[in-house]
Amino acid sequence: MYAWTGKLLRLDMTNHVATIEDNKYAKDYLGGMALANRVMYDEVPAGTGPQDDASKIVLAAGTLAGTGVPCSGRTTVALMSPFGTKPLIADAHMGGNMAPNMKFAGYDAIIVEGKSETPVWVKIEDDKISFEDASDVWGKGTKETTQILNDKAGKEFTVCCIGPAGENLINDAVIINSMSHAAGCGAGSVFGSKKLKAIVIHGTKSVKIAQPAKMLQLQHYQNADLIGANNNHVQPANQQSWNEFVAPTRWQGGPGKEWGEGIGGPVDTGEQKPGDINAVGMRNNTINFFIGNDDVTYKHTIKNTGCHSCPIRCYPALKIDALEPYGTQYNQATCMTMMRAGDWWGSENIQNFNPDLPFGECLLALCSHMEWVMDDLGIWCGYGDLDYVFSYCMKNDVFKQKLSEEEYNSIPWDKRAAGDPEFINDILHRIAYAEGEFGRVMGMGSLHTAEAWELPDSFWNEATGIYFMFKKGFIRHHSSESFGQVGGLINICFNRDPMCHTHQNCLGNGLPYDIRKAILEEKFGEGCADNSADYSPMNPNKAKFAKWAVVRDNLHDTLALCNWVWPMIFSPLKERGYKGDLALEAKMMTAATGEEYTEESLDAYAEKVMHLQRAMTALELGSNNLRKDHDDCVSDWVFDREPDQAAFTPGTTKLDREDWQKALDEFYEAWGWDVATGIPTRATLEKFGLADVADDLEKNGLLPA
Amino acid sequence: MPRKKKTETPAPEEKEQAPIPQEEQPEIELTPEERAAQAKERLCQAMAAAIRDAAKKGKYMKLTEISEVLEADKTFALELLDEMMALPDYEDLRMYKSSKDRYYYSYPTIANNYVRGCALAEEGNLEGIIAEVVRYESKRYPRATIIDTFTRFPYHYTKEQVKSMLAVMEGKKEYGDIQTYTSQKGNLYIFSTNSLTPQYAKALVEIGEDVKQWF
Repeated sequence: MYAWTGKLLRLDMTNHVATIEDNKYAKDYLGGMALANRVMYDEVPAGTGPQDDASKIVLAAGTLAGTGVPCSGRTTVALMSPFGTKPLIADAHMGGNMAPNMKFAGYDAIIVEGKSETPVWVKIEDDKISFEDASDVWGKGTKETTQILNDKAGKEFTVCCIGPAGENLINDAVIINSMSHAAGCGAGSVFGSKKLKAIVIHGTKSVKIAQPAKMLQLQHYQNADLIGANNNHVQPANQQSWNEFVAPTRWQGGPGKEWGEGIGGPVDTGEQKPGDINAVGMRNNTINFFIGNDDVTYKHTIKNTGCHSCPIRCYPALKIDALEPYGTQYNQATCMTMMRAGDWWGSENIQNFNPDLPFGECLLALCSHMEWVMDDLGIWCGYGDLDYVFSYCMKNDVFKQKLSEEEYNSIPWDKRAAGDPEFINDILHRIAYAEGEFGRVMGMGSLHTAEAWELPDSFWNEATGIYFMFKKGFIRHHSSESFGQVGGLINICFNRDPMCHTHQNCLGNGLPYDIRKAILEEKFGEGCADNSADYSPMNPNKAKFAKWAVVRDNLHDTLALCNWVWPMIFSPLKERGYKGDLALEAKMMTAATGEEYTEESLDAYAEKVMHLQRAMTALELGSNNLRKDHDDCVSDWVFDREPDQAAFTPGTTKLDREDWQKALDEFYEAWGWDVATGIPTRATLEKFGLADVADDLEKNGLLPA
Repeated sequence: MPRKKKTETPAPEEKEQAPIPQEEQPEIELTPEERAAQAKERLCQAMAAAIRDAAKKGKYMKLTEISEVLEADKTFALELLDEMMALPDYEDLRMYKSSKDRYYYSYPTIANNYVRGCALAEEGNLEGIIAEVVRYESKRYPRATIIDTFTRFPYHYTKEQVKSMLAVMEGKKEYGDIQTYTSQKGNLYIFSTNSLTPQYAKALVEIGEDVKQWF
């Protein structure tokens, strides 16, 4: 068998029994998201809570994990999300080294079920699986846990563990592998409910490739001709000798941009011409993209790190001496994780960290420290959900209102004002350990926090650019700020923030709008892609673009490829007209498996899992009208921002309510969902081999007529 | 006893003639015009090779440099370059003319905008640089230009210098389209109303600076 291992590993946490079984899902679901969602559908009854006895969590490697395909290090984690009004199916994802090691050990997926009475960690070395006593690591942070378990098992093992947040069943808890690659959406609390401290895995087998020479050629083609930097950013932020365009992209490298803490001395990242595959790893510096005040991040960069089999290396490894007193001077992180100091300390207090340092140094230090502590405690930020809740509560004196005077005064607000890193140590500790009212409520996720503290509807409706969906408990990622209706429609599909970059990557990749527009219109038709803040009314081609963006996102989570880098819509090469290759996934699947895939046939698997997840959502909500109960719940700011300006005029990203209804109609039609209810029809479900799911919906009175 | 069949002697194989090295070829009598044309062709090839080699190293060549390398008169080199760049064999070669020099480069190995930027920087006319870059970016991307653009390669001015120049430009009719906007984060942007309305420029700036948009 090529690409797949053909096996699943089932961990019975109740009885401490591991079972290896045949992977019956490979042919019809491939792997990753599709496989994991089908397992959840088959084995976890609708209505099961994430921490219930019947709950399971599925860690699924993609078909291409372990094949060496660029950016194939991701693991999809399917679970019941705790963030909504009812438990709903959702996927989390993490990079790092987990999925490839699963494949090398011989497994396409790991299914975790049941609950252990005592804390354990599971050691997996090929076919040898053992449940080990975790009492000596239970209670420890993820960094110390990883070190201890690597010492016990061997440094070649990948440790995927939880911190105190997961142990204490906080909703905002992650599982984290290789020290800093996390899967959120409550995955940590599911592990914690099963008393599973860690999975520690190493494999010595190989993943077989059907056409190795072809695979190598395709990988070289991708690295030489197609790949840019993170987020498919294909033009640098600095003028080099070869690039026509310069834009604020994640491609931050260039002559004079030095890794200031490089081993052996500063390392000049130099020119990174397309075609020079050895320079691909010098291009990115995601943190400098966000905290680039006079290139302060470069000054503290040791090198770029990242996931297995990824040439992009989007995690700068940092050394910040000012954090040595706090024990956090070494860190590695990327994007969102490094932007939160302003929310927590307050922008006005950042400089107080050290008045003798430039502002950018203070900002970087506080952001990095906070990220280190969050990772160690195993706390999930919800991509800004937790940050917004905190900053809202600060601004509106919610803490003063909801905490007892004693508890409120016990919080070291003076350290906050002083820009002291120890402020965040205290605050995050309370969240990870659910201490006091503050800790109990803050880690619940925005919907439950808002309910617990009776926050007004304005918390959602005025959270401009934060919550696209009203009272859903997840932030936008990325919504109407990204191609208007296209981004908005993408946000209604899932039960968490979509983490869809297929469309977002088309927005700020460095190329002028006319070039991006032409390439997108070639695929989806005229009018599919508006320019930033210059939107037009809805049309069917926008629905095509939105649907394809979701399908490709799902495909990447199925294969599993990093949707921050894939698909190759654009290329850095002017000789190609900056056009990428959207059939590359199919070409690589063909080379890996030996079976013939086309762009269309491969996308069909990804479309299938959306229909499945949609049906599962209907069953879990008990809703025969997802349009009303799930989708058409958009926050007011989406339509009411910039009140002096009309929608569809240059200078605003606001949408129009009536136009939004048309957008839903056309989107549902594109999917084959009933327009009135937004639920897949029987015809659509049967077309994708989901007749049994249609029967299930019908049995429950939820199938559209 | 049967007669032995006479073995036929195979015909000698026609050996393929090896090409005669050029230096051994009999000298063909060239006319003066033909000799001149040959010399000119060799000079063109040498110039093209020099420009292409420079491109591989990420560089362009100025007319001054080319004429020095070839030990040729600048005017002669210019005429020859103009002539050869019209020929299909040299269609990758391009030229950018500034007030100070001519810049020759091989495209697409070297970017048009790279050469233009370097040439503008060498001209050192900050007023002209601001106007050209801002009008270009407002039209091409479209976007407003952050002031930091002029502090980086290839320009390397200080923000104070740029701000001072903007104050000078404000009073000049020919720069009536050049306007500024300070973002909510306090960054100064410059844009041209030839291509962007103030409202649209402002929206693009604020969207671009909203970091949560970009993770």
